[in-house]
Amino acid sequence: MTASLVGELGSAIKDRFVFQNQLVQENQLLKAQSSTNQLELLRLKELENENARLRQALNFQQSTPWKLKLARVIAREPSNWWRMIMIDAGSSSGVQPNQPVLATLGEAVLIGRVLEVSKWKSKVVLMGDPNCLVSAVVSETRSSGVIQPMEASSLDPTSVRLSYLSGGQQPLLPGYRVYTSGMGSMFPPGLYIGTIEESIEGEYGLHKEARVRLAVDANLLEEVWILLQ
Amino acid sequence: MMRHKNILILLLVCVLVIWFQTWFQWPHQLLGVRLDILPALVLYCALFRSWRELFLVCTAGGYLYDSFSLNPLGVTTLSLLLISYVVYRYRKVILYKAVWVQTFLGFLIGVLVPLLTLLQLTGLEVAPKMGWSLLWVFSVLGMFTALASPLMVWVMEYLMHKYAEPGKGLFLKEEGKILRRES
Repeated sequence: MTASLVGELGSAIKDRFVFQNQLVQENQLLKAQSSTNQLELLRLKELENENARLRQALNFQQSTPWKLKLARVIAREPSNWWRMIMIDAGSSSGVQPNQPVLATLGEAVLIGRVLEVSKWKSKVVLMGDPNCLVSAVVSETRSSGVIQPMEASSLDPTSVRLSYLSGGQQPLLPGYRVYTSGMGSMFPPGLYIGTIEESIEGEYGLHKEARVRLAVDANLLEEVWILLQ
Repeated sequence: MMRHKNILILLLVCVLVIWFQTWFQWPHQLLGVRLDILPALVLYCALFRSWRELFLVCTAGGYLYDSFSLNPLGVTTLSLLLISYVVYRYRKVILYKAVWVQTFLGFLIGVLVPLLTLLQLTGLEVAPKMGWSLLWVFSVLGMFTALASPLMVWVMEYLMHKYAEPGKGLFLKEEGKILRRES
């Protein structure tokens, strides 16, 4: 009787308490599992974001009349004087110099042009670089000008200048939308560029200028579209 | 074999540095300036390595940098070579193992290398447009290289000691010790 009572008590105590080394092992296992799960969660979030971006890209491709090529950004300009990205599409994908490069923001947004092409990759100069001058028009006033860089190593990557503006005395108000004008035949007309932030008097008061906020910060893009035709 | 290991480590770090600069954008988002780690690596080579290794890092690093950039090929290499040669030439007469010396030289090389590159670029048909924001860019680059240089020296020395033999005959005098001729 006493022996069975002691036995029961012993097993009850054994059930209640676990050995320290067992707990430590369990703890290590759970920690390892937790870190694996966190990594998996991060991977899934990344996949979810990519999925959303590609879905948006697919919708964009179906809604435009142009022949487009989706490319991934593989490197970005390391120096402070130029604005450039490198993409993973080259002449083998039909990419040629001077083709417009776009991003999507509900509509086609111009971000730059192809500068150099090799077989598998290309260099794209972004708006705001001295190698990428774009003929533009203000939608509300129809005054046209040229998109130029602010200055070398401008600290704001989405700020450019709309210079040599025509269009007389019509005021340029903040928020007016700027599109490509199609002049020069490098870029088709109607590609969205950005909005006017402020109007500036040009040098010696000979012409008007405006500071334009680009619609997209191309340095943050992971995929871009090349307008093939 | 050991020499090959040194070179391999230097080239590997060179590639990693360029990869970091061409991929990570958060320093640019944060400061408005793209940070340059290559001058810190070149300074390490100028202070601690042989002229062959210095030449290799300047050439390989410079060409790799320019191939990912709109710079004409060779512009960065020339800037790195010119500045680092001066440091290499006079390293015997400076306390190059002192952290403050590395920091000071880091600041100088961090400002002079991009300045020299920019001066070369002004001769191009389409040149970058200068502006006052360049002062901020050079200040940040100088301060960053000043901080990065002692760190780079520490990391590289650690890697060299761990995976290859430390350079021989480079430590010409102890820090702070002035050798005087007995009268």
